[in-house]
Amino acid sequence: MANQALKRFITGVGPILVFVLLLLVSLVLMSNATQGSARFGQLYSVLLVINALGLIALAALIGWNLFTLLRQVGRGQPGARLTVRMVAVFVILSVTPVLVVYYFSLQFLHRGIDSWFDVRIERALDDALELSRTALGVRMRELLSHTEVVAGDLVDLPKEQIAIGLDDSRRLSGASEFTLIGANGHIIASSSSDPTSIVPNRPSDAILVQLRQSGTYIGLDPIGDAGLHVRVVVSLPENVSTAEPRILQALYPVAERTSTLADTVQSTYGKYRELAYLRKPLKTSFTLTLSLVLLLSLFAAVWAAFYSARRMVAPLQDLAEGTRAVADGDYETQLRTSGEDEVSFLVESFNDMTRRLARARDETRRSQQQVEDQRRYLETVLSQLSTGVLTLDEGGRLFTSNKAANQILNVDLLAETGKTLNEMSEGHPHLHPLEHALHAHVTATDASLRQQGDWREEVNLLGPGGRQVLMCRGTPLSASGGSFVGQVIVFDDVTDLIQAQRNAAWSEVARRLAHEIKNPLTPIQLSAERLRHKYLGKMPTRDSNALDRLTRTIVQQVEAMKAMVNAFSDYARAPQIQLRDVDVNELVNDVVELYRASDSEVVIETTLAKDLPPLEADADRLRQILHNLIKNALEASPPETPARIHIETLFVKEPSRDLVEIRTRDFGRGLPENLTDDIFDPQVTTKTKGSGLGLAIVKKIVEEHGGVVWAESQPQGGASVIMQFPVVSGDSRSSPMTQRQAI
Amino acid sequence: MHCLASVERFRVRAWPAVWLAVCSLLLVITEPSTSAPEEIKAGFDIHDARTELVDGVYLLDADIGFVFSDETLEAIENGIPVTIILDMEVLRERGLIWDNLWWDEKVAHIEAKFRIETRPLSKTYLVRNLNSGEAQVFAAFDDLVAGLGKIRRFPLLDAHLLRADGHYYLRLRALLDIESLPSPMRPWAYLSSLWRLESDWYQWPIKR
Repeated sequence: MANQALKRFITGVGPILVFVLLLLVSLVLMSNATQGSARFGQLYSVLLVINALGLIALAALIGWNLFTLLRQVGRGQPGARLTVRMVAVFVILSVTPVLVVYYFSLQFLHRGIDSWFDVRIERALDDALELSRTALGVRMRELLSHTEVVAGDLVDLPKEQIAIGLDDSRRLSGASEFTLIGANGHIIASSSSDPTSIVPNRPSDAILVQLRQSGTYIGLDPIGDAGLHVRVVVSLPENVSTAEPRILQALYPVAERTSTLADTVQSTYGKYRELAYLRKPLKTSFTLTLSLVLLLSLFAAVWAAFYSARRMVAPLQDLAEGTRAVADGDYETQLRTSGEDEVSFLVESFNDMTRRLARARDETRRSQQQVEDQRRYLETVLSQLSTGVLTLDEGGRLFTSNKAANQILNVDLLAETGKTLNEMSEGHPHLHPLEHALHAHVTATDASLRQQGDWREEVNLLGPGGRQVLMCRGTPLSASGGSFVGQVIVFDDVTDLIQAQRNAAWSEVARRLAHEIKNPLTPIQLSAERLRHKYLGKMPTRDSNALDRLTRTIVQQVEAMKAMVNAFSDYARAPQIQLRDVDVNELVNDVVELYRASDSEVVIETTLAKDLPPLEADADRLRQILHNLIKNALEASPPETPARIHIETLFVKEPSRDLVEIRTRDFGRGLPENLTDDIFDPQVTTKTKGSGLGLAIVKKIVEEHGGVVWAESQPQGGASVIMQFPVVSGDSRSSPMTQRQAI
Repeated sequence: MHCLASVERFRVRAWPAVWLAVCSLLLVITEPSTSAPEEIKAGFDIHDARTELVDGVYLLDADIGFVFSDETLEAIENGIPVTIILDMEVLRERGLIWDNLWWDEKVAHIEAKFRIETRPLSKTYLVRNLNSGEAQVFAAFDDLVAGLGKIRRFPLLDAHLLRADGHYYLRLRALLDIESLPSPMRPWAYLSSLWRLESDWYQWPIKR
């Protein structure tokens, strides 16, 4: 957070403003220095360098901004072109007036500097200087003459009086100092008006050179702090007594008033000359300063143009990027707002829009999720249904199906999705009856379907698992607007149900037959026997024979009817099975032995599984099954050859259960193809005699034990009846019982 | 003129580098230095320099040739004061490489400044020692050049500032002080070779 604030500060307007302000201050100081300010004069060069470097830094900053902007334009970044336009407008608006002001300022500056100089003033200053020179020249010549006189006086003075003479002469002349100097530069005598002055002023080498050249020297020299003095140096005339050449230096103070006036004239003249000489450099210098100010203003304005344009375009760029993000599906985009202007209002509106979009999207997702959950729930429910469900679209093409439909129709319907029933039946011929039965409903038009409403059809299929009876119901599906979008077909495999109903009906018939027919049979039989017993001996032979034959027939038929009624009675009898562990192999052997012993013409082969587990069953009922099957097999065997029967026991291990299988096979004609499924129904038989209840009873008993039974014609001839009984493990011994009782 | 100059420790003089930058930044074309034959002659040259130990003080005697350019002379004639600097450095050898000044210790840095002015009233030239305040008047500019170029008995350094076991040497150069010119002239003076008057360093060992 702190780093971001620091970064914002560094890249913000603050530092640049401070920088420009400092440069401005520096330029003000430089301007003062240009105008001769003593305080900033020393800093002029430094200030110039600082300003130049500052301007270069600003120019670099602008260059970088320009480069960045052009790169953004090249990349087609949103807002870049608008920024270019705004920068151009800002720059033109700010630079043009600045340049105009610059041009006129330069003109005024040059004219202003030129106006400082006037020929008349220059002439007056020259004249004033010349006047001063003239006035001082007269006085100086007088002082030279006077000094030469003094020098002449000193020539003849003896050495010991020179100091006194020198002092007297100085006093008389009003000089501030007289010094007599020897040839080697040593001071012979000196007199000064200043008693504190110990070392007299010496003439310089240059003065001595001039003295040697012209014999005298006179000049206006500043002497230490004492102000302007007239220095006169003369050589003393040659003297016989003093062989060495001597010189006299006299310093005459210039009157204070005269000195001040001379100084004023001289300094004013000097200043004017200096100013006149500096006219061109001053102009250049001012122009330079003004140009620096101009550049600073320009650069600051250009930078401000960049900054302002960026600031103004930034929210629009954000909006553009935000819009792009929304277009790409990112509804979480929230833009930063600043200020209270119209753009901020726009940004707020954008943020509000994205919030609403995000909410709407979330709601849609929730709805989709709910729909998906609902769909999955329905799918789960449908997949768990034992009822087959198909949905067809408006064109009669398969849209969805459930697992039960796959199982019932024995078709992988998922692979058939999108096909019509007709197309499906081409790949799966056993579906032809279904397609034929439903064709009218599936191809019905929208209007007729609406008129028709729900429909119901019973369809018989002959599938790989045998004959199936399907109860189909159809309902048109309509969308929320009422338009027809397809239909749903629900179907159940009612084969077992019909079979059960049929079994129940036959049981009822058998029970009634047994009840209604058995009762009069005994009186009929007794009556016939009584007729025979009473009248057989009394009737003539011809009649008695007839009676005998007739009564015998009656008795035999009654017996036959009794047997039939008993059979019906057995079939209708409620199950009363006594379960215990039965060794099936032993049971088979027992039954087979009975037939082998009683009839040598019967060949019964057995193949018994050694690992057969005990079967929990009613041994008597199982024995009855075997009797019925052997009897059936014997009856099915061709009469011309010895009957041959093969009985086999198997232990079948399946993933979910273990089964004991008993197969009986005859070697007769086999089963007619149309009777494979109905062979176990009552009154269905291929024999000329018998009640037709044998296999029906077999099936009934097998089912009472929770098993299944079916018949198969063998390719090599003959037929097999296969029974499978579930082996109940010790852990769940009670449950099959319950199940069987329920059956 | 003969006054003990102030002795200061080493001070960085960065102006040449700074002005090199200014030259490149302002992109001002400098005046051609070979435009006139006489301008080539302008410059300072140290003919001879030596030190002498007198009463515990090293005194400098030097003979320097000053040849001013026309621009400089014109400015002086027009009343622009011009300052000449005698730049002196006392260095102690570190015993590594004689020529490598970077390794030698700078013991003292002395600057003697002389300002040349004109006196229009007396039509003379004044040379003022800015260190001592002493002034000297010359009737002609040639006299001034001769007088300024003859440095005699300039008190340089107290002997006790030098270590007894050290090997010292002294180097001297003369240059025109552009910074003392009026501020409007300085930028152009820095950029013009006619104003950049400077002698080479003259170097000699200090005899003990």
